[in-house]
Order: sequence, then structure tokens, then C-alpha cells
Amino acid sequence: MNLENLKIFAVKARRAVNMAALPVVAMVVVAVTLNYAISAFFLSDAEEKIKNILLSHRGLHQYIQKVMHPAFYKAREQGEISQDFYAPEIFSSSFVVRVDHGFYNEELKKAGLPEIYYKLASNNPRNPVNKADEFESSLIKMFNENSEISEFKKVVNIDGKKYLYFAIPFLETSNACIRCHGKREDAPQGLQALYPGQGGFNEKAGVYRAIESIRVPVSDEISTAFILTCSLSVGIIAMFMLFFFNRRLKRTVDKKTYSLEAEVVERKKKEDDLEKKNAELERFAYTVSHDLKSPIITIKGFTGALEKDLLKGNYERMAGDLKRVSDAADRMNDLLCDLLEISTVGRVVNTSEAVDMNLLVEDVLAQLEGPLRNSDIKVTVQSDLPPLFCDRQRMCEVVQNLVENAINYMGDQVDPHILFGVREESGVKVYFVQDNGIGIDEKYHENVFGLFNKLDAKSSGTGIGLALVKRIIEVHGGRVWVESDGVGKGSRFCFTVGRNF
Amino acid sequence: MNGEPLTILLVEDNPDHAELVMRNMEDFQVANSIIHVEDGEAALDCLYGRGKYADRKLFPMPHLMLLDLRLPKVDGLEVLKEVKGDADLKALPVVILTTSDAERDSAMAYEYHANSYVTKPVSFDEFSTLLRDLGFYWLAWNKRPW
Repeated sequence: MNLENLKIFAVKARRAVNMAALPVVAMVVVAVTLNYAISAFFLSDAEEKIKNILLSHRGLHQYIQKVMHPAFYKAREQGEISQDFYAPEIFSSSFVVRVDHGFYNEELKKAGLPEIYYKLASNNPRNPVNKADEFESSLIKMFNENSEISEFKKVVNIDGKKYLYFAIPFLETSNACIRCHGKREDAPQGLQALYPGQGGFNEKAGVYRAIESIRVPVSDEISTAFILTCSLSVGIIAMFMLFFFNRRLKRTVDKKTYSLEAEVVERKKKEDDLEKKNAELERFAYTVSHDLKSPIITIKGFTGALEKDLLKGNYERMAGDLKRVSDAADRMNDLLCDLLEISTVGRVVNTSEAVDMNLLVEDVLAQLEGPLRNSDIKVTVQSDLPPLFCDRQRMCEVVQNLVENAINYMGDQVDPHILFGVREESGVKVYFVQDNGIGIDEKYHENVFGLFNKLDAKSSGTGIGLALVKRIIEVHGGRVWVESDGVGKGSRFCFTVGRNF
Repeated sequence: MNGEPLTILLVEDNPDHAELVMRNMEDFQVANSIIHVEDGEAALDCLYGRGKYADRKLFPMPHLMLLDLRLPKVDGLEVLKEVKGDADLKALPVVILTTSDAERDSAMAYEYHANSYVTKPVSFDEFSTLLRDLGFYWLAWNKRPW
């Protein structure tokens, strides 16, 4: 690979990267959003479950504090229970709930379900198992400072496993709570005996003393969400790529189709051209064979007649017949010269140049001065003819033949007139030779340009003039045609030259 | 010959060929008169009795038409087509007499119901024999339509 190829490759690669960048960024955004949405869906499901359990625990706390405690105090006042009696198994809601949760976990285990971690955490617990760690302390502080916040949730990482951690504040410390959680000496004797330290005492009413928290593993949910996201993303990428490749394929196919169609059109055009050329060639061969055979028949015919007359001694018409033979030979010579002439057009090409048409027309008219004067024809040439890029010598022949044609078909016009001019038709310059001669019926407008075609058998010339004009103009990539309103209305022979000339 | 006036319409643009045909026809005396026209338009005018051919005494309806194919103005095939497509003219025997021995020309001529197609022989003797035979066949042996 040389340097140039390398550069092209680099440009292509850069373009490919640029093209790929946008979809990749879009895909990443979509994937991240998807993952977030799916995770949130699963987590909210887990969250609800946890919240249920915590609320159920809170219900149990409420029951103990609002139903069991008053019943207990009443029984004690009535002397049915000793003043100093205390048992956490009956009295402490945190104890009861913790043990209750322990049973719940055992039941879960029996049922083959994963156990759920539960903790009531306090800065000042009676039982050390309820001691809040640094994080839990900060949550207690947070709940106390922001009364509007009723819950806290977070996905935490413990020993490489993901958990959903969920916490709500424990019941607000009420005056009833202060009975056991106020000053140590105010608490029941049994309680004082059971808990020797200051843990759980000296609390104040109106604050959150603790939080209750649960954490459940959510690794499964998160990996499910991740797998879902991945599969969805792959699906979307696949669809996107399919769409992209399909579009590219379609574009390639379309392009190919267009080029094929264009090729078909071009080929058809070439075929048509070839067909036209073939038909022309066939016509040419036909014309040549017919027109060259004609004088041979005349020569053979009249030499035969001469022979017969000579034998009979009949000399009267011999001079006339000899002239016919001679004329036929001359005619054949003319035809052969004309054929040679027309065959050189297109084969012998002079270099094209910007030709001053004013000078060219002047030259041609000077050459035709004799015939023009003899027929007393007035010629007008439009002034300031634009120059024409063409083969000068051939253009001379074109103009000469058109003017000669006008002279030959002037008829018995009393005021014969020829005009050489130019007009513009949709941006193309159309040169023309106009006469007020015999004119041409519309049905012969195409015929007149045929080789050796003559509208009047008696008119002079072999009938090659207009065929030659047509051939030269065609070689110049132009067009030649005749305009005439009909017999007696004069003719206008027009021609153009192709743009590249 | 039974003395009926017989007319041939010769459509030939080459004056030399026309002269050769007329000389031979005169020599064999097969026809009383030959009307010679040089192009297809004149041929049709003569057949229909139009324009300068309006006088039927001078230009009677011919009994045979010798028609060249390559003609100025209206082409020979066009004339043939017109004649064979005309209810009054289609019975007229039309012999194509031409220099062309092109396959296409004879095929087209028969397509338009030419009665005969002959190529002008190069040899003078053959040319004479052909015209004699042609004249005798179409004007004497052949039962004429009118």
C-alpha cells in the first residue's frame, strides 16, 4: 500500500469512526437509561416487601406499648402483679420484635426462603446487640434533624454482595416510654436489676431514640436487570444495525439499479444509432447499385440500338443515341465522383476552427456569382453573422450546396431572392438559407436529404447536394432540416452545429 | 390484334430508359399509344384523369402500367399501393420495371399486389425480347380488364 492509498484509507476510517460515534453514544445513553429503569423497577418491588415487614414490626411495637403496657399497669395497680416485676420478654417491645423476627427467619428458612436481616439500632441501647454503628448513628441523627423524612433506602455493598438497605425511625419516645427509659432510679426494680448499666436510661420524650432497619440481598434483581438491559440493548443494536445495513444495501441496490438502467438506456441508444447507421448503409448500397446500374442500361441499350441501326444503314438517330451513351458515361463519372466525395466526409477531417461566417458566405457567393447573375437572383446576407466553430472547408460546401439548391429550385419566380441568416432557438444558433422558389410539399421534407433523391427529374445535378449537406452537418454533431409552407411558398433550409464544435 | 386502341402508361424518370422502352414497343407495335410520365404524382394524375390529364381522349385509361420504383415525388411503391387500393383501378395490370433486383423491393411490390416484377436487363437484345414478350403477354394473351 503506497502513501496515497494509506491516506485514503485513513480518511475512510475517520469517516467510519465519525459515522459510528453518534449511534454508539446514543446506544450507551439508551442502555444506561434502560438499566436504571429496570433496576428501579426491581428495587421498588423489594422495597415494598421490606417496608411491609417493618410496618408489621411497628404494628407489633404499637400493640405492646398501647395495649399490653396499659393492661400490665392496671394489673399492677390492682396488686395482681408485684410492683418490682419486670420481664423484657413481656415488657420490652424491642425485645419482643427482635425475637419475633428471629422466629420469622426460622419459618422462612423452613420454607426454603432466604432469611431477612433485621436490626433495631440505638445510640443508647439496653442490649448491646442493638448498639448503632457509625452509619446507623448518622441515620438516627438525620431522622431527628429532618422530621419530614420518614424512610431511608440505599443499595449497599457488603462482602461483594449487593443489598437493599431500608430504614425507618423507631416510634417517637413518648412520656409513657420515659417510665422505663427515664432516670434509672425511676424505673421498676426488676428492670434496674436486669440491666445494671446506664444503657437505655436518661432518654427524653419527643425524639427518635432508634431506627429499625432491614436489608435484603438484591444481587439477583440487579443481575436480572443487567441481563435484561443487555439483551434489550443487543436487540436494539441488532435492529439498528439491521436497519442501517438494510438502508445501505438498499442504497447500493438503488445505485446499481440506476446505473444499470442508465446503461440499458445508453445501450439502447447505441443500438438505435447502430440500427440507424445500418439502415442508412443499406439505403446507400441500394441507391448506389440502382443509380450506377441505370447509366449502364442506357449505355448498353443505346449501343445495341446503334449496332442495329448501323446494320440497317439507318443513320438518322445515331448522333442522338451516341450523345445519350456519352452523357450516360459522364453521368456515371459524376456519380462516382459524388460517391467519393460523400465517402470522404467524416473520414477526412480538417481541424475545426472559429470560422467567420460573414467571410465564408461572402467567399461562397463570389464563387457562385455566375449562376446567380444568370438567374438574376438577389442575395441578402444578414449582417454580423456570429462565428461558428467548424471545419471551414466543409462548411463552405454546406453553404455552397444550399445556395446552389436554392438556385436550382427557384422555378420561374419573377423576383428571385435568397437570404442567408441566423436565428436563435432555445439557446442554439440556427443558420438558414431562405429562398422564394418553388417550395417543397411537407411530405417530401425528409426525402430531399436522401442520396440521389431529386424532386424534379429534369433539374440539374445528381441529387447528391443535400445528402452531402446532411452528412457534413451530422459529422459536425448538428441537425439540418427544411421549412416550407408548401409548393410555391419558397423554402428555408436550416442547420445547427453541435455544441462541441 | 383485334384493332382495339391499346394504351400503355410508362412511368419512368430516366428519359433514356423511357426512350429505349418506347422504341422497342413501337418496333413490335403491340400498343397503339404510350403515355410517358416521369414521376409518381403524374402517374396518379393520369390514372385518375386529373389536372393536365383530364382529357380522356388524349389520355385514355391505360391497359397496362409499366412502373419504375425509384421515382421523384411519389415513389413507385406508393403509386402501386394507391392503384391496388382503389376499387376502380385495382384490376389494371401493373408490371414493375426497374433497375433494382433488391429482394426488399420485389417483396414489397408483391406485398402491394404487383402483377409482375421484372428487372431491366443490361443486354440490349434481352431488353428488346423482354419488352416484346411483356407487351404480347399483357396486351394480347392476357384477358384485359377493360
